[in-house]
This record gives sequence, C-alpha cells and structure tokens, in this order.
Amino acid sequence: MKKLISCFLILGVFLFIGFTLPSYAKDKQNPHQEETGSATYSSSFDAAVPPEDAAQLGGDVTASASCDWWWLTGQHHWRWSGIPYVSTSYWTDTKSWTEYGTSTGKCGIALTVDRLYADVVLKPSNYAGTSWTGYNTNVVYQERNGWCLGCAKLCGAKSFHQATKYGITWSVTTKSGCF
Amino acid sequence: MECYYEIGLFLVFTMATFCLNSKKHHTGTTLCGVFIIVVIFLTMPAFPEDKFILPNRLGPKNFDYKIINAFVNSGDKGILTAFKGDPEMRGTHLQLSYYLKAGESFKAEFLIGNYTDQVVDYFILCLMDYKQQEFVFNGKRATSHPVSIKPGERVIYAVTLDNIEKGAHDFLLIAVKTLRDSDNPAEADFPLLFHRANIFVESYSFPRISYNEFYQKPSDFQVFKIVINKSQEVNHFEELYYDTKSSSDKLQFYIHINNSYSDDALHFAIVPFDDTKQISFRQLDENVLYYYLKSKTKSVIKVNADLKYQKGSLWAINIDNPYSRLETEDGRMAQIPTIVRISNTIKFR
Repeated sequence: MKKLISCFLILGVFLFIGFTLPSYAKDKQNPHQEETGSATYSSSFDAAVPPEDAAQLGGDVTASASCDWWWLTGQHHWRWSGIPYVSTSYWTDTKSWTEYGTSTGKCGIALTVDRLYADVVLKPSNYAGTSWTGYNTNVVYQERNGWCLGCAKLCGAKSFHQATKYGITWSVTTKSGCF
Repeated sequence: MECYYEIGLFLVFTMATFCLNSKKHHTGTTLCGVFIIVVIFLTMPAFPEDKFILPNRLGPKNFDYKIINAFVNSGDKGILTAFKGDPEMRGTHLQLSYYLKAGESFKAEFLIGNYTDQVVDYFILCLMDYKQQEFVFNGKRATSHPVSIKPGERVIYAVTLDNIEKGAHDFLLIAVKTLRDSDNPAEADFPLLFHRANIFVESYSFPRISYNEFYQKPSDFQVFKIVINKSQEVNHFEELYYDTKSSSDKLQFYIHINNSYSDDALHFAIVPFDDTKQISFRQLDENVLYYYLKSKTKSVIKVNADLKYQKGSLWAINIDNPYSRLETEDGRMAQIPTIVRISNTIKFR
C-alpha cells in the first residue's frame, strides 16, 4: 500500500513539473528550455479552367482575368518546453491552402480543389503531430498540443502538403529544425 | 432479379402479419422471426440496384497541361503525379470514376514528374479490389514495374489492365519509393504516390465484404499511422526498419493502426507485401484484411507472414473506406476519408 502511495506521489510530482514548467520557461525567455520552428512553402500554378468557368469551382469565387493562376501554400509551426527525459510539452500546427493569384502574388480569392491534405510530424517523437484531409475545399488547418513523460526534446518538424485537382496531384514538404 | 425482391417482400409481410397474430405462442413467434431474417438475407442480393448507364460523353483526351506546366514553372521542389483514363474509359474530370462495357480493357496514362534535386526510384503496382494485378505498364506485362526519374524529368507511362469482371471496382495504382542504402528510411520524402478510382463495368454494385473488429484501446494520436514491428503491445508505434531473417520462413510481426478521427468509426483495408508481392495474413488465409476502428482508438494485428525473399522486405498499405463511391453525382469528390497510407518497411539482412 505504501509503495502504491509513493508511486502516486512521484507521478504527481512529475505531472506538476510537466504542467507548470512550460509557463515558467516562457516567462523566463530561456532559449534552452523552449525551442520553436516554422516553415512556409508557396507555389503558384496556372488555372486549369478559363476564368469564365472558375465560378463553377466554388460558390463565392469570382476570379478576374488577372487572377487566373493557382497558388498552393503550406505552413507549419512547432514549439516545445520542459525538461528532456523528465517532462515535456509541445504544440504544433499545419496548414495548406489554395487560392487564386497572378504569377507574382496572391489575390486572396479562395480556390476549391478536390482534395487538400496537410500533416506535421515532430522529431524525434514521430507520432507527435497532427494531420487533416479536406475535400472540395481551399484550406485545411489542424493544431495539436500534448505532453510526454520521459521523452527526449523535440528538435524539428516535417510537414507534408498535397493538393489534388482533376486527377493531378502536387506534393511538397516543409521542414524545420533537425529534419 | 426484381421478381425475387417482390416475392421476398411479400413473404416478409405475410409472415410478419402471421407473427403478430400468434403473439401468445412464444415458440411460434421465434420461428417466425427467424424465418423473416432468413428471407431477408436470401433476397438481399436480389435487391434492385441502379440500372447501369454507360455515359455518352468520352473522357478528356489529354492531361490538363495548363496545371501541370504551371507547377513546373513554379520552380518549387516536389513530386507531381497525374492520372488520366483513355477517352473511351469515359472518365470524369476528377478522374475518379470510369465506365466500361464488359470485356473491355482499362487503359490509362500515369504521369510522374520529379521536381526534386535527386533521382527518385519507384516501383509501380496495380491493385483491383485490393488484389495485386498483372498489368501492362510502358509496354511490359508484369505485377511490378520499376521506374527511375531524374530531377526535372516528367514521364508518361501507358497502363493497361485486362480481364476486369462485371461490377463496381476499387482501382488503385501505387508508386512505392525504392530507398537507396544511403537513405534514412525514417526521413524519406514522398514514400507513396497513388491514384485511387472507381471502375464501373456494367454495374454499380461493389463486392460485399465483412469487416473484422479487433481489440481497441483509446488513443489520443492525431496522426494516422500504420506501423509494422515485433511488439504485440498496442501502445508501441515505434517503426522497425531492419531485421534479421530467421532460418524458418515463418515470421511473426504486428501491424499497429489507429483511427485519429474524433467523430466517426472508420473502415479500412490492409494489404501486406513482401518486397513487391502481395502476401497473405497466414492465420486468416487472406491477402486483404478488412477491419474497422472506432473513433480515437488504436489496435494491433498479428501477422504470420510467409516471406519468400531472403533479402526481401515487409510493408503494408492501409486504405480508408474500401469500396466507397469516390465521387458524388454532381461531380465532386465524396466527403469521406479515402487516403492510402504506407507503413514503414522492414528490410531483412
């Protein structure tokens, strides 16, 4: 019985450290306790349909003649805090979005694709991360936070972004940190 | 067919009326219930299906090069794939549905563009209803076709698949990356490229299958995973990349899977491979395993694999929602998960 109580007490101490340390690390602005990373990818591609047909792709799309390029943008962020191998917490997000644009920039008009995917996986814990698939949409976003007892510190992230339209699939990755 | 359906309905209503009138006799009521269930079961295959209509319009003749070339012109690093059925396959704009007459061969083109800095090597496999097929790829008939694509290169391969039976089918063309010895398997980019589509051959009826339910444990993973390793613990999602093959060919592994969706139970199909050949789950005598997982759960499946290749490899793919219509009637992609994922590959040394 005493052993059981001792185990609960030790666990409680670890949990306390795990939940309180992230905020402590932030307050102290200590770069050794907290690391962050992010990466952004942008790509443009010409429209598969002439502008007059573009409205069929989405209810609110009114592409002008100068905005007949398509853009796929991918992005991810991550950060962790805590004491490695004792208690760590992390937060990450990933986003892919498509929109109309020109050869030089985006027009801010949503472009619906058949399938849009985004995921992010943190290293070294390759099951810490998140993913999302959207259908007939122009944006997918997902964020995730968690904590881990006894885990190594996170050092990087890799994100996969994919857009599919009319059977054509464009796949890219964004990487940050030790990836 | 429709006659059986009418007869079945008539019998069900007749027996239901009889059962209601004999409520006092429990044995009779039970027998009536069993009879109704049997009749329903027997007449199920005869339920009328939508009448198959071969579309008049033909599919697109060419790839949409306006999209493809713009990807290339962007100058970014990535992999581009495109799939297009021949016009006579009557493919939709989304290239998710094809309509064939019985006896026709399925003909298509598969394009891979390598816009990374390195040569990429893949082997191409074709699965029909989750069974590996022999098919003609780039003029050669085989079950597996290796391809190597240089940086900046874009290659179109002709694909022909013969002997497609009448019915609705799940078609899957996959390209699995071949790693070099110097590659880190844990960090490989673009390990799987795929195109999934429905092929309707004079019917809209998919094969009927039953799904296995395994022990499930709550999971808070938000990344879908399929991992093969030697741990039977349901929590162990660590990827195993190398193993030593024993003298006996009977090897035992565990496939770890999860459903990270918070809302829905999901149906899946797992297909295991040894090198480039589909293999069986020996204990099940099946080379496809259909199963379902409740939302936010994980599970583990034992694989007793008969591996043929001394220096082969073990890997698997996991497919969301087998035998689903991928496209809605108004020509949009169905709002259901239809992704294909690949596991880690265990290489034997």
